[in-house]
Amino acid sequence: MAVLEEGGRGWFRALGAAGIDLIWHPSVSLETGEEVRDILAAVESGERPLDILCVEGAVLCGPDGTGRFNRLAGTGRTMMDWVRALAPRAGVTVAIGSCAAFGGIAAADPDPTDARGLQWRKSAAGGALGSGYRSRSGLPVINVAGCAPHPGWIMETLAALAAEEIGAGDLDAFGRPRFFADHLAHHGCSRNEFYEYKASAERPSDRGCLMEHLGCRATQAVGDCNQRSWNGGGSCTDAGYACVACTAPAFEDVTGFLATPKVAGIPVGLPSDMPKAWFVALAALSKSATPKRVRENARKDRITVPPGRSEGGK
Amino acid sequence: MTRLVVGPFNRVEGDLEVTLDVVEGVVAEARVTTPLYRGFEQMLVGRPSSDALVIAPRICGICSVSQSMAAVAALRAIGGVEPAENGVIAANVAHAAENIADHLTHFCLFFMPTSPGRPMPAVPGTRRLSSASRRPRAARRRSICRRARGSWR
Repeated sequence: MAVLEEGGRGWFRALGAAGIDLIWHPSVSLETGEEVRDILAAVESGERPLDILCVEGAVLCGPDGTGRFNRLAGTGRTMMDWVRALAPRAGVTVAIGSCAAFGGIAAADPDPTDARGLQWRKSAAGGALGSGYRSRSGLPVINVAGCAPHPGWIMETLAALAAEEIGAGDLDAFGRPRFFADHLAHHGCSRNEFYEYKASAERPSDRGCLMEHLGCRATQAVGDCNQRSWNGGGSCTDAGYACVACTAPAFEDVTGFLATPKVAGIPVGLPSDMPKAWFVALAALSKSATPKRVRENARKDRITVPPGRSEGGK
Repeated sequence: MTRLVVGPFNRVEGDLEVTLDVVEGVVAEARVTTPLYRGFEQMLVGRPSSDALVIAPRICGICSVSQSMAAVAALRAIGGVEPAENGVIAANVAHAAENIADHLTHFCLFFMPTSPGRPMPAVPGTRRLSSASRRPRAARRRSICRRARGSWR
């Protein structure tokens, strides 16, 4: 569903431009029932080549390792079985979304269905296919993480794969394409000025930075979320919703998403590569230097103090 | 009696399986199965109640806002709080936008490619009661692409 929002020309044209022939997708394909079973059988037997296998959703391995919490309708077989049958045939295997990548929300405690990603179970290598799995191209599963992933992440990954432009070096430690995973969700956030001065929102709908009190994890979450537009404009943080780090394995295991955990008043989840002492010192300094405009607006649901006329280098 | 298990289905958002019992070429009994269990309710036990605002919308990728609205209504009822008037309006606008998007998605993506002109796929072992015309497969395919492209630009 996410990828339908891809670009101005639409997903179908984007696929065509990348030279990708969609074999079957449950939401958009005409083939149904027996026709689908024929396609799946032809791919499984190797009669029909499979260049890219995309899997959406966690692989539910329960109950008791049978996988029967999720059968593929009409086939009498589990999705776990189908994934394991088709993955060895695939030129490359792509997990679309954090569930297929790591288990995601489906694996949230108490993980009722033994939900696993294709090659990861939360932060541990393994998953439904095992850590040793490699597709025919020699690549591990490519994880287009995110809940939901940006349509551009999906389509650009597919296009790059079709052009054979993704190698092992283009993936991060969790198999995520680096073109979006080398960024942090925080980069380009429209609340940037509030972050700089630690002028923080205290209630939902306040305009200030969401990190100090409202649980925002954008300084730790990978993704170029704030350098793209979502659904035509904006992002989670732009809309006033704290980043829940949905691109991270085990993001679902946080309890209290919308409040920042603190020890002695200092947020526990600081930017991963920032020394804590520095953060405390910088935060104190910047708070003392915060302009009235920034401090006032941070705790309002609209701008009440506009930039002064003398500002702007006149 | 012949038993037919139909699936996987195209153009549904979710998992669905239909079992048909056919007697003398006529469907005598039809049963629908959802072959997927996820256990979302269990995930919410023991968490801060506001976590429902993160977990509930992820029940579905096409009606996330509706799930959020349901969670909000439940939280409101538990907390006995009165929402701010503007907050209700903003939430309703978001909900309405999703509703419009869903109608467009359902109509253009799921429904239109099947109709008009394409009869429901034949179920082996049953008699077709209508005599709707069948167009050549290639024409149907061109038609779905054109519609889909037109709809999503």
